[in-house]
Amino acid sequence: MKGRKNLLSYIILAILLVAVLFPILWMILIAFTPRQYLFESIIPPRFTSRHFIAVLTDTKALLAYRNSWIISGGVVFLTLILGIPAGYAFSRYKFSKLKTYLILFLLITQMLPITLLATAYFRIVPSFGLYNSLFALILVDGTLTLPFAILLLRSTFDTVPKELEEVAMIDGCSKMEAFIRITLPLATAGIFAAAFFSFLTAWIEFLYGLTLTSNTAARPMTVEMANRLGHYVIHWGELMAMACALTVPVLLVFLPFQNILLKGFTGGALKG
Amino acid sequence: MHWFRQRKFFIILISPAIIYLIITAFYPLVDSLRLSFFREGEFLGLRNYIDAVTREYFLPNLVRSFFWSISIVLGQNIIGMTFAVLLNSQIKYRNLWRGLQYLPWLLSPTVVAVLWISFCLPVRGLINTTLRNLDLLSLMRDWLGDPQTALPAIIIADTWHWYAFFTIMYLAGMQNIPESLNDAARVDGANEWDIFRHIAFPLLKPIILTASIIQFLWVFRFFDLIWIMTKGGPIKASEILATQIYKTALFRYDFNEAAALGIIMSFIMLIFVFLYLYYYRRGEA
Repeated sequence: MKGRKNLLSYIILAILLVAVLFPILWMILIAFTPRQYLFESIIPPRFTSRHFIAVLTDTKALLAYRNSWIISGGVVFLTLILGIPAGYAFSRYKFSKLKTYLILFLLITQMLPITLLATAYFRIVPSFGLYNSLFALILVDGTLTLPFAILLLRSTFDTVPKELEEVAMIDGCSKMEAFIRITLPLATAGIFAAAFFSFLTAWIEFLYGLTLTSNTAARPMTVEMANRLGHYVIHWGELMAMACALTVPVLLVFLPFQNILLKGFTGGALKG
Repeated sequence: MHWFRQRKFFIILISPAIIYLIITAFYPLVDSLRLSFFREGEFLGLRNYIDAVTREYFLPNLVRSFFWSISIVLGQNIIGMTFAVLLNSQIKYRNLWRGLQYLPWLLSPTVVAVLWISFCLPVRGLINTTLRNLDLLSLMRDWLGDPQTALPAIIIADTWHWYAFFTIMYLAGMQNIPESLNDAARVDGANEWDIFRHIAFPLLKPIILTASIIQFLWVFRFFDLIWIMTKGGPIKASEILATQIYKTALFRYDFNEAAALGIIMSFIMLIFVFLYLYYYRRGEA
């Protein structure tokens, strides 16, 4: 009886997994399908790396890919620089009223109507001369990542006992040294999770990239790909190769570290 | 002064982040609020708001926004809960299966759009090719170009994209349910479905509510997927408030009415934010 039930759940799981993973498999297969066999069968009679070579020799695509890396890297830096002190403060200090209001502020910041903000940025950002600028995109993408990162980091610092810092301070460390030598290393997992989700948010961001760029100077990969969908002839193989380039780096970090990352994620999302 | 001295460190540590968010997120919001009462420098009171809601497409867009978000949240709940139940049991290579079903969640909306457009292509798309091979020619259509199927097609794409949010939340919630509770029920002759219905489901209820509200807020304002797949078309078949705001501002250059529409949307979302805070508080107490 028990065995049969298990078999049934294995079968349901297998069917669901195949269904859910098929589009990703499809993306990889099309990226390697020669143009003449495109969309003819799921698995082509032979494979080609031409689409990847075409993308690698395409200046516009390469620039967009570079921009995506710079923007995402910048957002991670900005988020951690601002988020670590704030998350630490929220975890360590117990001024209930002020803290409650500030946490409310963060929760609401997470839920702002982003299209409205995009139209506002479209008016405001050019007046600072920051249209088509990577710096502007880092600044506005940070608003998407920082509130969540602060809440995530707060719940991480909650797990580091305050007593450890106090012991270090008795041994002659300053408050700052105790934080850097004791607390920060113990919070590595949470900081890594905050960095990952900030990176991911900026990496997949589309709306602000669309609104605040008009040329290749700062246009991210997501917008470059969407533009190519509007071309008269759509090169599906190249688009899928670009999609792979946008997906593989994330998977390579996520899969080995999924437990650490998701623990951080639920800490930020559930404890709020 | 005493009040400040007591909180000096706290305030020093948090102020960079708070000041940054006020400048980059709240100033644009307040500026939009101001703009929504003006036109060409002239104060108009609620005129822009009245204009925005009396457009003949406002109500259909509003209804579509709700249809869009509610169907996605429901669909994702079902898939997410199914995965959570299956992956919470003691199966072999559990981490691998968990990892694999999270994968769509990590994709960019742009990538999701590219994939689903390629499925929906009228002539060579995978859906129509499959239907042709099955000799179901009457079912073939231009999925994204047909007003009847455009929005449902995007809803399915988005449901697929982010169902794993619910798997994550429900797996985290199930970890807090002691296994002894399930064992006790099994001894009393309960089957797996009884256990889910009478133990897991009631205990997960607060998480189901909060996760659904968070996701609702996220989907309600979501713009990318619809924009890339149909730009709200054909005609207005997949238009929602989020895409309407963008069009009003960047295509019609009517930033005042766009701001008014955005503020209306914010108020609708605010209701759900308060709902969320209500359940969140109850969960904490």
